[in-house]
Amino acid sequence: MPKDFQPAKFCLGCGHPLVLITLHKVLQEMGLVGKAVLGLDIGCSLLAINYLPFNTFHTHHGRVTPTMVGFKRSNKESISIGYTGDGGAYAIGLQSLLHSALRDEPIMVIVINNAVYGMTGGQKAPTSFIAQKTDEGINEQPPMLGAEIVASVAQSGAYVARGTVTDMGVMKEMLKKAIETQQAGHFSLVEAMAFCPTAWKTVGTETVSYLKNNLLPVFKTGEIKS
Amino acid sequence: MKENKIKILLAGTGGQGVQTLAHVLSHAAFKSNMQVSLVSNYGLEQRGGMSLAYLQISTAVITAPRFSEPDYLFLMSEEARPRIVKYIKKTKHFIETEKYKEILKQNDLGIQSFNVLLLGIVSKLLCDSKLVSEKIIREELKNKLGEKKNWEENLKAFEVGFNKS
Amino acid sequence: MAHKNKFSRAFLTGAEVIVKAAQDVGAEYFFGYPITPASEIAVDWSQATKKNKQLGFLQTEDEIAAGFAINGSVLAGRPAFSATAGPGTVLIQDGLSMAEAMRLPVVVVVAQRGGPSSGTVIYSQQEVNLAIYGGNTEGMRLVYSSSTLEELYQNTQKAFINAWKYRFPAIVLTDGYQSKTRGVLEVPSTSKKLKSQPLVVLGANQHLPNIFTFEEELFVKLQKDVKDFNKMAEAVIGYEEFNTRGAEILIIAHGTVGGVAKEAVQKLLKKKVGLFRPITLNPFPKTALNKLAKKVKKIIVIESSLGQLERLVRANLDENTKVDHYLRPGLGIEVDEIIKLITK
Repeated sequence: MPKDFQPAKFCLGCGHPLVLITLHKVLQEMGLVGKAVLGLDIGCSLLAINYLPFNTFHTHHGRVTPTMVGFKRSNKESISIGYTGDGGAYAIGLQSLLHSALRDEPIMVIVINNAVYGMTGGQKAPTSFIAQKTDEGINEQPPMLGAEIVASVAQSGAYVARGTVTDMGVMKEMLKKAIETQQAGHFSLVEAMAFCPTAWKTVGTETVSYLKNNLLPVFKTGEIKS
Repeated sequence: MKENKIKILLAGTGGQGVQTLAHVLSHAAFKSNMQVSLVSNYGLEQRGGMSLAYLQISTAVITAPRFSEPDYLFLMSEEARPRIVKYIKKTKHFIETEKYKEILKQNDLGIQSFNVLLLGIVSKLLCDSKLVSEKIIREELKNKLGEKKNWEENLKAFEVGFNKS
Repeated sequence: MAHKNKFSRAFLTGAEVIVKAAQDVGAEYFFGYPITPASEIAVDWSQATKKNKQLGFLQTEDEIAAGFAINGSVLAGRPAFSATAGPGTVLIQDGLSMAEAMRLPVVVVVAQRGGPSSGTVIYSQQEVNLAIYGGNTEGMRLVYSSSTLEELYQNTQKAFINAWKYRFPAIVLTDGYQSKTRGVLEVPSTSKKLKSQPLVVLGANQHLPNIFTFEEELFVKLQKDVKDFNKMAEAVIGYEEFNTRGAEILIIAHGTVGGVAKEAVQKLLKKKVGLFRPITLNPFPKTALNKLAKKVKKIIVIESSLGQLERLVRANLDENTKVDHYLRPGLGIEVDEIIKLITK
C-alpha cells in the first residue's frame, strides 16, 4: 500500500475511497496537493480525516460549506474543498449550499450521493428513490435532484456536474474541471453517485447493480452547468 | 466641584422628529465638551409607533444611561403618553407640548417644524443652564438640517422657540 | 520605554465602540446575519470595509452559517467575529460548539434582548446561560460583560487578544440599551493588537478532528483543555469591587445593571453597601467573591433575568452562603429602584 495512505476506515465496497483517491490523483497531477484543504461533514465523510496526505479537518453536519466559505475568503491561495454526503448537502446543509452558489463563492463541494444516511444506520436521505427500502420503511417521497437545484442558482462561470463511481474516468475529469473552476474564481460542485453496500444491504456485484438499476435512472450523469 | 447635570426625556410618535431633536442636542453637548449619554427606545414598527429619547448632559461622567426621574419630560404626542405615564409623578417639569402648536400657527409655521420649535425651547433651557453653547447648537442644527428641504422654515421655528419667553 | 498614549474624544454608540475596538485591535473579517439589536454592528463594520480594504464582510444566509464561517476564517488565520442576539444566539451555538472543541479563537458579540424566543428587541441580561453554556459543551469560553463604553472598548479588544493567545472562543456580552447608548469615549491613539497565525498551514498535512472513536480519546483531550482553561483563568479573570471595605450589604450585578448599581452605591455611601461586579462571567471571579462574601451580612444579586447571574453566583459561592435576589427579566433597572430596594 502506498505510504501516503492510512488504513481505510470505510466499509468494504464503500464509494468514498474511490472518489477520495481519485481526488488525490488529480491534485497530484495538477501540483496542488500542497494547497489543498479538505473540510469534512460529519457523516461517513468524517472518516476521510487523516486518510489522504493533505490538510483535513472536521466541521459539523451540514456546515462544511459555510466553513469553507470562511476559510477560502481568508486564504485565497488555498484550494478549499468541502466534502459531504447527500444529507449534509441537501437536507441540513441545503440552505448554505444554495446561498454559496448564489454568491458564487469560489469553493468546491464534493457530494457523495448514495441516497441513504449511512453513518446513522440507513435512514432515508433527500435523494432516496421511490420504493427504496430504508430504516423508516418504504420511501414514498420523490428524490431531490440537488445538483440541478444548485445549478439553477449558480452564476456564470460556475461548474456543476454529476458523476458515478462506476465510471471513474469521467469522474476524474469532473474533479479536475471543478478545481480549475475554483482557480478561475468560481463555485463548483461535483456530485458522485456512490456505493453503500452496508446500508443498501447488498453483497458483491449486487452493489453495482443497485446503483446502476436504481440510482442512475433517477440521477442523470454529466455536466449540469459548465 | 458640584456636578451640573440635566436629564431630559423626550417622548413622541415615530416620524415626529424626536430622534433628530435628540441628535442635535446631544451632539451639541458633546462638542461643548460635556459628558453626554443618549439612549433611544422605539416600537417594533418601521413607521409610526412610539419614539423615546433619554438624554443626559453633565459635567461628570454618566454611569447609568437610563433614568426614571427626569428633570424635564416633553410629551410630543398623545400616542406616547401610556409609555411615559409612570415617569410623570417623578418628573420635575412635565411639559405637554400640545400647547406649543398654537405658536406654530401664530408664526405661520407648518407641523413638520414642530420638533425644531421644541429644539429651540430646549436649547434655551440648556444654554441658560450653561450646559451647551448657543453657537454650537446652531452649528449642529445647520449640520443636521441645513441641506434638507424646509431649512428656512426650520430655522425660523428654532428662533421662535429659542426666543420664546 | 513608557509610551504616552494620546486620547481623543468620540461620541459613539455601543455598537460603534465595538466595531472600533475590533478594528483597532486587528480583527479582519465579520460574518453575520441581521438581528435587532445587533444589526448596527454588521452595518457599521460593512461601512468600515469601504474605507479599509484589508477588512472583509459577509452577510451570511443565517446565524448558523455565520458561526461556521468565522470558524473557517480563523482556521485560515484571519481574525473573525460575528454579532448576534436572542434567537440568533441560539443558532450560533452550533458553530461555537465546534470552536470550543477545536480551540478556535472566534469572537461573538451577543447583544442581549428579551427572551425567550422573539421576546423583545430591546434589552435583557437573559443570554448569560447561552454565552457560557449554550453549546453541547462544558463552557470553556471566555465571557466578558461591560458596564461602560470604555470597558466595552477594552473588553472587546481583550476578547480578541485572549481568544488568540489562549485559543478559546470569546463572547463579548452587551445588550440593546448599551449597544444603542451614545456616549463619550476617550479613544487611545495607539491600540493593543492581537497576535494571530494560521491554524491550518497549507502543505503541512495536518488533520484536525472534532469527533473521536473512543471515549478515552475525548476524555484525554478534555483534560488538557481544562488545564489550559484554568491557566488562562489566572491571567484573565476580571471584576470590580466598589465601596466594599466595611460593607454589610453586597450587591452583585454585571453589565448595564452593574453600572446602574455602581451609581446607586455612590448615592448610598454612608449605608455600608458595596458592589461586586464580575467583568469576566466566565471564568468567574470565584476566589475574590468568596473572600468578600465572608465579610458581609447580606448578599443580593440584581439582574435583568430570572436568575442567570444568581445561578452563577451560587455555583461559585461556598455552600452555606445565603443569597437574596432582585430579578427583573427583560426590564431595565434604575438607580432609584436599587436605592429603594436597599433602604427599605
